[in-house]
Amino acid sequence: MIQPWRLAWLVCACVLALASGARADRAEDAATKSSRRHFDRGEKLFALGKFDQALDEYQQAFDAKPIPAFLFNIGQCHRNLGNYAQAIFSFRKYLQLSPAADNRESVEKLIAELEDKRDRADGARLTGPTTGPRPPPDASTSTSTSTSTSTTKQADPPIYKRWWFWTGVGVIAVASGVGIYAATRPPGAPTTDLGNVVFGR
Amino acid sequence: MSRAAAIASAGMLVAACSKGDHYLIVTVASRPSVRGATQLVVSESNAAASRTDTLALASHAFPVTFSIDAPGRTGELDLSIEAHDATDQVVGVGTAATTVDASTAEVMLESVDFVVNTEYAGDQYLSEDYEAMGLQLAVASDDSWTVGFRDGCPTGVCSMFGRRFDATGAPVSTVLAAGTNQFVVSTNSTTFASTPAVAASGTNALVFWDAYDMTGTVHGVSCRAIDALGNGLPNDVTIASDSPDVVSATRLSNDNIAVSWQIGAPPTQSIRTIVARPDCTTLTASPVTVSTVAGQNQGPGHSQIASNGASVLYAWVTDYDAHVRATTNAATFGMADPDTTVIAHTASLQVTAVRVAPLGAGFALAVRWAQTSGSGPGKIELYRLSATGAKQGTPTLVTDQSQSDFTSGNQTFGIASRADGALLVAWHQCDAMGTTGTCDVLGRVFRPTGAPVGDPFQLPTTTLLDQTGPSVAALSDAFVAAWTDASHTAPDADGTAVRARVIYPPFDDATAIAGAPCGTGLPACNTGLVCAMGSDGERCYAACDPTGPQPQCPAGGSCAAAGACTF
Repeated sequence: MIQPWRLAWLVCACVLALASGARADRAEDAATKSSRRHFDRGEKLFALGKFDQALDEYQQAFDAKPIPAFLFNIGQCHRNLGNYAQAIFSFRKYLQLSPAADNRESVEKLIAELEDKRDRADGARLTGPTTGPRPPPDASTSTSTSTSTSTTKQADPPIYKRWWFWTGVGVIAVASGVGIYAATRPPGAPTTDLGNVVFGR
Repeated sequence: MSRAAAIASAGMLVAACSKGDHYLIVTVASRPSVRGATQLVVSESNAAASRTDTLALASHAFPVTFSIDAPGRTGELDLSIEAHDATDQVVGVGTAATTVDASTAEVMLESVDFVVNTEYAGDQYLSEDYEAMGLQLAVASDDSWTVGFRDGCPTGVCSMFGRRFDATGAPVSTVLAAGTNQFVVSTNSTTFASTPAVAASGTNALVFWDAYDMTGTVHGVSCRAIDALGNGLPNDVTIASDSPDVVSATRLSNDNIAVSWQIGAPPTQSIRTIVARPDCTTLTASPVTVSTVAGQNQGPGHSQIASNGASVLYAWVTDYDAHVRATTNAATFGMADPDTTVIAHTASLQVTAVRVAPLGAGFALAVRWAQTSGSGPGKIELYRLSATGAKQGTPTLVTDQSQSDFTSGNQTFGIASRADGALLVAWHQCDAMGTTGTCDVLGRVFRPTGAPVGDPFQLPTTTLLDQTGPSVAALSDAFVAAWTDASHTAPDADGTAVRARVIYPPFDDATAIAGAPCGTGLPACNTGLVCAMGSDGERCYAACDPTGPQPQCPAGGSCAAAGACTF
């Protein structure tokens, strides 16, 4: 089964965060939160093979926040549902809005394959009534797409996974006095296990 | 100045200034889960000044004592103590608020959280599924506990992982890991759709998950048992061939395990169940359908199963109502009682998640409410149910600081009850604890009466950025909690990690806080609380006005004539 483009949200979140100068993982307005909610649900439904419900969630995610990467997931849902024309449209729109997409080559191959399937289906309709079931979900390119996704993740990790992002994060402790020693027991001090410490003025 | 000279100098200073001075003797005790401490780092604060001293423990075992001499100082004195191990890692923390003039002070060191996973590359999740949070932890009869988790599936292929610890949080050696590290539970690859659920049977740990192979054609509920030595059954086995989601499991009184899950989508979605033996074989060939009311828009889903020894209760959400169904027939597992709507949604609030745990002869049901609009404040309430799932008494407010939108934590959560009746509810909420833009894991303890013990408290000690999706389980004298941690803090700074902590929240030993015993010879209740007689003796309860408008006790309980919301 083809996995949805799981990086879509992370990539988008990073872009939003960089644009606003806010932290990457939680710089979200209401629309972004709504979009993320639908994306998360869509991702889960896609993984379960519930492509029609996943499609609805991805569309709502895109409605809330028109991030081009969602169009890729919408296209994948259509492709798995056998909606070739809609899948082609979504993939083309995705490439149109994301001309520098890392997975452009894979998507172009998907479009070509889908066009071929659509043409053959159209031809079948012209020659006679279709009595068989709807074309099955297509898994012919699942490996390459997953690999592409994986490659994308390796090549372009989200900002919070870059080493330099966290280099500057730290905690500065300030104390007016610091003593590192084994406490001793001065004359008059009570007998204790660890001795006495002096907190003088 | 040399160290010896510094000590000598300090000693002379003390001798000079402490003549006739007052000494505060501090006793430092520690929980059993504070392990390997070699030194204490003591920070003292008074009148805008602070000082830090490091005291070597040498051969001394807890409890240990030391004294503080504060010449020329008066007023409040705040103590913060860290226990460090030989590698200078913090293994315990404790605080005390006292005064310079006090003669004694006591500090209890609580253990800190730690990373469960031993593979640090990429993401690890306790649960990445918002419906399945709270189900990944179980305690065996010897108080060892097992965590189930999943990695981020870096190549698109997923495995279930586990790791075992003893009651103090020390990692336990397993044959599967050939040591104390994490081990792979699943022997067949699965997908992002899978999330583990863990149950214990005697000294065995059983891990269940919703399995999907990479082709999308093979699916089912998978099970693998791990014995006391950490031997795994040769392979994971399929106990039901459904297309499952949100697997939950609980131990029955005969050490079998009842497992539940959901299938399908509205309006044909349903809750299913089957009983497995400790070796993952099943009592029946096919599962039973638990839910009988179809959801038109949502559910049945978000389910959890719990057993109190005599009966088993299933709880889930259908069309934003909380549903339950009980069975007492362990032999056939027939459902004598009907599918019941126990908590119904209102015009403005809907039930979005439920969690259930045994409580005395019945059950505790925690319900997460959210605004129907999907934004604004939400709340979590605790209901008490009979053995057959009937609602008893009025609910207790767990928190009104949870949110209604999905990304602010409107997701499932954890609940566990201890043999002494202590109940812990744990959840995550965002923009809480005075933080903005981050998510925190909180918990709150309750008595068997439903009365809260103290206020909500933060479970993690590593609190940078987000902590989410807690699971909790009961030890003999403590609780263990685990969650997904996005702090990117060492030793796992790459992606999310799974962290855990053994905690000892106040219960019978509570003092002055809500739920604490009070009365003659006992400490007075804190401000805002009233000492009153309830169903389990004199305790500190929230104050109320018995002649005031309704609701007189919005956080739960009934307003007694004494002016306290008693339970």
